[in-house]
Amino acid sequence: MGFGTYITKRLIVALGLLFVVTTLNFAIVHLAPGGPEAVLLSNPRLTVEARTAIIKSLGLDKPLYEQYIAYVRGMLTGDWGTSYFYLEPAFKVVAGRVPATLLLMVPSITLTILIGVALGILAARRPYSLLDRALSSVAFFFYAMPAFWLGFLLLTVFSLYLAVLPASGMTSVTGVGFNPIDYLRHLLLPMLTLTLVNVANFSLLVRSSLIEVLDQNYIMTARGKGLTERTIFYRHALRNGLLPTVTMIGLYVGFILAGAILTETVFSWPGLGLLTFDSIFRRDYPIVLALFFIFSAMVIVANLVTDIVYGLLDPRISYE
Amino acid sequence: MSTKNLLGISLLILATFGLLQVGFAQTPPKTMVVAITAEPDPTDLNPIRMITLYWMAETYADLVEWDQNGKTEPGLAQSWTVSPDGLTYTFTLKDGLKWSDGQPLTSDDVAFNFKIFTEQSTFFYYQWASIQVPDSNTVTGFALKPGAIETPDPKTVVFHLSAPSATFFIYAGGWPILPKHYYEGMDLSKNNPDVTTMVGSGAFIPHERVPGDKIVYVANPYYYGGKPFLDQVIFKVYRDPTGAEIGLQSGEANLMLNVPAQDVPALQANSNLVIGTEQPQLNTYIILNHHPKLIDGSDNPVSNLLVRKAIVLSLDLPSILNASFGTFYKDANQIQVPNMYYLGKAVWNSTIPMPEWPYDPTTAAQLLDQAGYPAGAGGRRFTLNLVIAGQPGASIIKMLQLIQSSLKTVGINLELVLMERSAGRQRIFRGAVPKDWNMALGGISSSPDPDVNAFYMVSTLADNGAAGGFNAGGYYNPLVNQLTVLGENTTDVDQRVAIYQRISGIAHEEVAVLELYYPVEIHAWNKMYQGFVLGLGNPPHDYWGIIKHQSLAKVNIVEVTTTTSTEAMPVGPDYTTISAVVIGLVAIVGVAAYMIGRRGKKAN
Amino acid sequence: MSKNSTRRLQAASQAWRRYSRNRGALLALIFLIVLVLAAAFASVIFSGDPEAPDLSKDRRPPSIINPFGTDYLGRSQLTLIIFGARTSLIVAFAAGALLAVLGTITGLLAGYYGGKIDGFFMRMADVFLTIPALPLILLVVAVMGPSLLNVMLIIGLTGWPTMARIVRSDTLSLMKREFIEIEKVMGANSRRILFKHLLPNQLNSIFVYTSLSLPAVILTEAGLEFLGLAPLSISWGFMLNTSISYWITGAWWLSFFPGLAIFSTSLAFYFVSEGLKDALNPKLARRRESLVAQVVAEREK
Repeated sequence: MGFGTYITKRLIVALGLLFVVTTLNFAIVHLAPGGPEAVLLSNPRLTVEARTAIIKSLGLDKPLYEQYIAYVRGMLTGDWGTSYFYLEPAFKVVAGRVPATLLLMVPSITLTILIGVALGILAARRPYSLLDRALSSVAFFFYAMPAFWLGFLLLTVFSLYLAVLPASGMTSVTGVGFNPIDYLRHLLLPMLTLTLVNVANFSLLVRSSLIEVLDQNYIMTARGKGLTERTIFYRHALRNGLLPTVTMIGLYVGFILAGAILTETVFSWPGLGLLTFDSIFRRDYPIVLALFFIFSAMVIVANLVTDIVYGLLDPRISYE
Repeated sequence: MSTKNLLGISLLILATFGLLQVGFAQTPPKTMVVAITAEPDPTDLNPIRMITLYWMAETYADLVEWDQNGKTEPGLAQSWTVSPDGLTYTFTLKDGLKWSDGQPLTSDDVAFNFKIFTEQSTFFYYQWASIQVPDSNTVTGFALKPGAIETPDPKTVVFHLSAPSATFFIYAGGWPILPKHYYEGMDLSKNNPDVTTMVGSGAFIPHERVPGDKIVYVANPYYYGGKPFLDQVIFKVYRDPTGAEIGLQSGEANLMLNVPAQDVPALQANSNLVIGTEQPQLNTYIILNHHPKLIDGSDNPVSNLLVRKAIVLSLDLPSILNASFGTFYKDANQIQVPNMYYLGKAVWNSTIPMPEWPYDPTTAAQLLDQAGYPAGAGGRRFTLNLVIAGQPGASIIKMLQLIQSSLKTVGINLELVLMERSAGRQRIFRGAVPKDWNMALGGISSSPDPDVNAFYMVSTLADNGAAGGFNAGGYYNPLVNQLTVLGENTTDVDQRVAIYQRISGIAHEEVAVLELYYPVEIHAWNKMYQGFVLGLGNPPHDYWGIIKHQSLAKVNIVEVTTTTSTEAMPVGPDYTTISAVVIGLVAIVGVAAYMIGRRGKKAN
Repeated sequence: MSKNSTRRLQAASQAWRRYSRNRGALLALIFLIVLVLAAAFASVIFSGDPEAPDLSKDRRPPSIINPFGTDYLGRSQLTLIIFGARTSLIVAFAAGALLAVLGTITGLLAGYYGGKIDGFFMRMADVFLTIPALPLILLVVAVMGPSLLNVMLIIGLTGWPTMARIVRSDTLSLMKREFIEIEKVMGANSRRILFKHLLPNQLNSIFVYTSLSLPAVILTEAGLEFLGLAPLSISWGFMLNTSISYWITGAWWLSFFPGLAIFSTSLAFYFVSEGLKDALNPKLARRRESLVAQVVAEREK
């Protein structure tokens, strides 16, 4: 079985997963006791006619299965409904927030991988040395740290006490045009928060994976052959040790997404995370469904990509 | 790491620090940034939807304006008359009125305005008024039929009513007038107006909106009060007050609305800031469930008048409020707010004691015994729950917790149930009757007319099932209902005021609701910005009077000597504490490092 | 039988010796024991009602009398934190137990029966792994209401897939061992095989993995309380929630100590589980237990 079939199979599985996920999302969301009525019609001053009219205009009076079919069809054609709250197409609202979250996530993932691997290597290079122990303990430190607490600590130290960095948002209120320095200043704290926690986790993972590899028989053989530690490490251990971490990266997209929700809340970063938080509380169904779809899609795609990359890299895999 | 690498890294770090020092994006001249902490992101600038009206206070002028003393003054209308029989209202517009795009503002716009609000009234804020009258498109006695509104010339609007109305003037006068040439043909229930092309008559018109972040308003050169000094007003949305305060401190924001009471001392310490207060027409109270049983069939002690009396007697509200809000509140003792007027006469009932109830826990305990709820083991009598919808501020939480502990001393166990906003509102206002809660935190905006509080808080005239009045607890007194209807139809000032005072009295005697306080709004701004007018806005924009167009138009920036603002505000822990914490943390890390080391050597 | 129990005792004491060599894990264990005891006997140690306000002591900084300072109602934060430990610990253990039980059962069944059952469970696990956990938790708790039970349930429900995978692959490799073959040949019924052989051999790793998941459970639970999605009782996350409003007034200790409590407990669980991992699994078995190796093994299936 060739590589092409491997990919196709994986692709089919991914699509199937996506479908299951969206159905599950729909089911869960519609079981909410609050319901969309509670949101738009929460003003006690609205009349009965007003409520019926709103319900009609938003299609909430149709039976559930009709709503479901419409939902699936919509998802496929890109029509994700109209936000109850914003009265704009859900797609537009969500798409509008994606750049902000990407701006936060992409550098964060990149840094997490780069720094995480670098630190993991540094630590595994001489296991249990002082450097390793110091790095590991710092890693534990951030691993156990609640992200929102860290974010808030950083916020208060740098924004409140030292007043060198802005407190919230993505850009300065009165910024004119595109000012990269401004973006950078606003990005610094949220990205720091998001990255620190994940780097800790990731580097520990890399380290343990590498150390494990170093225990393997073939490493001992290599040592027996008289190769230097350096060669063994960089030529043999690294390549095999890093492979499993490639798989982890797929999972990390999920973690970073979760971290983004908390971080965006602390720093008022106008991205998807904040939108999730707000929309859930507002029972803005179309947005919530759209967001779940996007998040799951991102994780599924990330896993798919890492599957493929892994398949390419690992010669042991037989593509079944 | 090689020295070369080290050098490179150090240079990078230095460069970053250097960049950081590049000053905050300075506010361009003649701009003011207003910090808002709005729980929901202001969704859209659609005048049909209630939520947005606060944001429109700058954009649209009304026919009549009210000054900070509750006196009427000309708005878009220069003058007005009412016929002796109360059936004809004539408004004469000012000369030379223009919209922000230069188009003339005429009586056609006024006529169109009423048409659009009553036709698309499904969503409209004032729809409530129509509940009282059989026709569904009416504003108390005013029905939109052919000939109801006449526009004999571009400057005159005539309204013909079918019956005299106590409230028509207040609504008609306080209605934001929308431009016909902009909104004609737009279905506002389906589409939001395009912010970039908006047209208005107020001092500042919105022109740019970044959802969740900010709204930019631009000065209107044709504003009838004269072109404003400021070029731009930007409303920036912060998620919480702390962020807004940091913004205010750092100069990112120049005015902050709704400062939480406990933060005021800290802001006052900053000599660059000015604190001002407004007394909006808000009433914060606890809704009491008057149904004898809860939905699960269990007994509801609160439905018993003796229990209600016991509850209010066991609370030392003045102390509780003082501890929670400092000096920024007003004790509440009746359902009407202190600054509620009808045609200049206050409806405040001064015979109701202030504070409303004495603090008398002994009598409270006796009343509870009398009511048939003796103290059991550990002094416990029964448990009540209090539902709160949405995230209240820290002061409110503190107040509720103090109430909780006061009730505990007379044997009542109070559970505070914090629910997120929409599910909470559903549970309080729209859940099936009877309810599953004993008490709920409520608040009502009382403007523009005394009828609002009477109608919603203590009458059962609103559709409690679907639309749900604020009287979610089901307090019912037929006399109160009768009086409420009477009040709507009485135009004589003295009679009408007496009616509402009577209603307040009855509500007090029967403890219809548990009155808490009338909130005081606190605003803080940079002292360079001067000219704010506080306390504006009788109907319909009673919140944030400070940003009504008459106030904003007058704001100008004055150069004053500013003290370096990096001092003051939150001092933070002192150096000894900081060093102690840092040393502690380093110790933890060090010990952890040491610990790990041990393990490695002994691995078998 | 006594030979079995002596052997078990020996194994246990060996494990303990290995464990206690790791000073960090030992310290963490002591910390946790002290915490659990303090939380359990809190009402005995601290007299009076911890929630009773004393407005004369509004927001006092840490001092000798109040080592953690007082909060905005004048209550001693030290007391509040000890009482709050109850909530955190109960939720942590309950959610962890739920996660373990669910994961173990599904993993065992999937590994033992294979085929359609295996496929079904693993697909479900995949689905749960793909749906991003935090948004799902947020939604479900917001939907079902803020009760501790819901919090425990949902955290347990989102954590089982990993456990299931590990148990499944352990089961699979155990199944290949001879003694299982022998049992099968002898006609032992499934239940016997499952509960007398497969499960007991994995207890160690199940235990280890449950404890490894505890730090995350504590953090998630604190996160939910912080966001206001949990009941308004004394809990660390809720203390953090209310403390934010007071930052600007300079009362830094209101959020520092609850955060520190969350952090230390989470860290302690981490150290303890790392220690357990090494103590309960001698070197030979270490490869099997590593999550990374699990994933690799998964791909090689």
